[in-house]
Amino acid sequence: MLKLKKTPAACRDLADLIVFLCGFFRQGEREKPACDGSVCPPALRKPDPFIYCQYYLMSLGYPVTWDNPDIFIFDGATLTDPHSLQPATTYTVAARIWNSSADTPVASLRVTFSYLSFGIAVRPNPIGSTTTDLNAKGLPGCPAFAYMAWTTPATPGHYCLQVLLEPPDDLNWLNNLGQRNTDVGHAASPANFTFAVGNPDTALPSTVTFTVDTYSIPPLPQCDEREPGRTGARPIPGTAPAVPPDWSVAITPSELHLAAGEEATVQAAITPPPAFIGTMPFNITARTDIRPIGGVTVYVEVP
Amino acid sequence: MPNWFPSWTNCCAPQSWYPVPAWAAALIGTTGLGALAAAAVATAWAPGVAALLATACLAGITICTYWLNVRLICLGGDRSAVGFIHNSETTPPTNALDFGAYDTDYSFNLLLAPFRPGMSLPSSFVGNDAPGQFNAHEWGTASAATLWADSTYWEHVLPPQFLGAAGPVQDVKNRVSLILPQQSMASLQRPFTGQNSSDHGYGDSDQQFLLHCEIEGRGVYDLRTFLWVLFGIFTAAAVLSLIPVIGSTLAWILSVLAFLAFLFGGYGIQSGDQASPPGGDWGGSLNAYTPNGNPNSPVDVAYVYGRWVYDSWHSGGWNELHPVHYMIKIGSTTQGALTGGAMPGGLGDIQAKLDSLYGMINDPSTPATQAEPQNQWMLHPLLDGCIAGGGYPDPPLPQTTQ
Repeated sequence: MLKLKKTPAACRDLADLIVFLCGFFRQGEREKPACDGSVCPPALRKPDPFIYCQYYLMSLGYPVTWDNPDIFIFDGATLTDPHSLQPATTYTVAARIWNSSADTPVASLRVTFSYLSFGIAVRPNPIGSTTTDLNAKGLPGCPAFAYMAWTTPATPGHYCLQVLLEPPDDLNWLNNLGQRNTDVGHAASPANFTFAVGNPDTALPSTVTFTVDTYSIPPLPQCDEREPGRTGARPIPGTAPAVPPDWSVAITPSELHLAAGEEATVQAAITPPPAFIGTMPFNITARTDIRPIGGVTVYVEVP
Repeated sequence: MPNWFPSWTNCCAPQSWYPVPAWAAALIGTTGLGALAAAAVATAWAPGVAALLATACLAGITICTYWLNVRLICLGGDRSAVGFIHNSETTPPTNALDFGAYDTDYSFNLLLAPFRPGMSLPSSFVGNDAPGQFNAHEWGTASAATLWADSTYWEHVLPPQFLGAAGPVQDVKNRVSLILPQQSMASLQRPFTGQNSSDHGYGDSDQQFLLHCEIEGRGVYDLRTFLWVLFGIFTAAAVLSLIPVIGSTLAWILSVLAFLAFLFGGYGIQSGDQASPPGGDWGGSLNAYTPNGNPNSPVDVAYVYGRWVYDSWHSGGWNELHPVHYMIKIGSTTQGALTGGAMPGGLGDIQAKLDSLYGMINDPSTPATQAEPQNQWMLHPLLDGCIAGGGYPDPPLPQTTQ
């Protein structure tokens, strides 16, 4: 019946009461969200599935590469260069998916594959959807992988593969779209190439400008080679390396005025310095006044 | 588990359960009245009143302890369930003397998939008996078997797409078992009415496919702690009254202040626990079913994981997931689709997958795994991670593709 607690338990209860009373007098600072007839269970958890999402990273001020490290293309069982695809050929696109939630998985996560084609306007072309199961951070099943067969268009050109994650719930809906540029039957030199830019806004005209940088994802350190005493995440550089002064990058035209849904062709010419030997990445990002609308990453190689 | 929502109750085994110890609380209170009467004879009102209030605290502590540790009867451990959010039930604060208002649990009902709102279990099974009436047939496993064997019932009430040789009966059996009377309870002669929808403005009073779920608040736990403190104060007041000349005055002052603290503090416990849970995050909201609501309004589907118990405190009787350790949204449908029987597909598979995934998440070794250096990234492992062992995995070679 009446159970007298042991002293340590009673002291814990007293401590709990003191904490509670202190919190009680601050209760005005805690506000319950308005649910407007919904159910707001405090034990509701959310996952955070994500893929390398250029737009989200740029919104945070980080540089990006348009060669998405989480999107792979296989020709049968062989990993293939996305810039050397053949037209009207079936490949397998693989997406690598992460979860930043340590306690909430996603079962049957819907993953949708599509590609952008440029014609009258920027048009998404669905490839297909599949599902995969994603575990919590750091556990088997994270990352998860999703695969989709893709038959490339018969018309050569640049095509932008897109992978969209569509979970039933998400802690962060902004990091679910990854893009990777591909070249189908397009063997032009990366030092001189053309690409199409479309105004994604179907209602208003846009002015499109371009930025160029030489960012690439730095190699990861070994965990045991990090600075002594450093724990937690590695710092991420917030600025992208500029084009070296001895390089020349000419984008023609340097600025576009596009009507709603209009497309234009842009030419880029990259000239290395005479003594350069090696490979240099160039990220060309197109932006309107409001937001970035896409980009391409090319590698200039001088053997 | 570190990722579980906190709870403050325990459940007891069926063989350890006993009814509300009202007689014990009454005995304690009577003792207090006796002390008061004795004090009145000796014209020592101060210690008498303090003693009465102290025994009242003990009676309250007895009830609280029962509420926290005995009233919930264990039915077999933690379980998961999937279904549609039906309605929520919360208790608003009233006054310090209202014990029910200290129950700050966040409650909701889950309409088990794949059942529709208002669908009742066969009335011959449960629901027609008066609370407290015990019928032996309700507790045998044979009674559950009759439910599964009644093919006519299933054919008429379940959505057609769920009928087949493999049978929806097998798919949903484990889910529906959660809301049926259990054999382990047979000897306790507890009533069983289940959850119905008539309390929510539609349907009838027969048991429906609703599973009651409760996310715990700490109201009664805090009340018990508070009563212990007040017990100490009232006891101290009774002792202080022995001091010559000023003792009685001090005792009266202390007793009055403590009683006022109870009135205000009690209400504070009731309303304070209505605020956000520890950590400040509510997690979000779910769209619930509304009788006669807009057919196009969303209704969310949830996976809920909690302790499976029978709550003996209520005048009726039903099984619950109490406490809910965690829950997640796994899909969405519309009011019209739900009432028309068009169910989202694959819910059974999703439940099985989540059971498996959470088995890994809830493993005791998981915190150590997630604390390893290569898992300390915040934005993206390829940007702010580090390499340990073989590094982050690339996709395995495709075997088959769509």
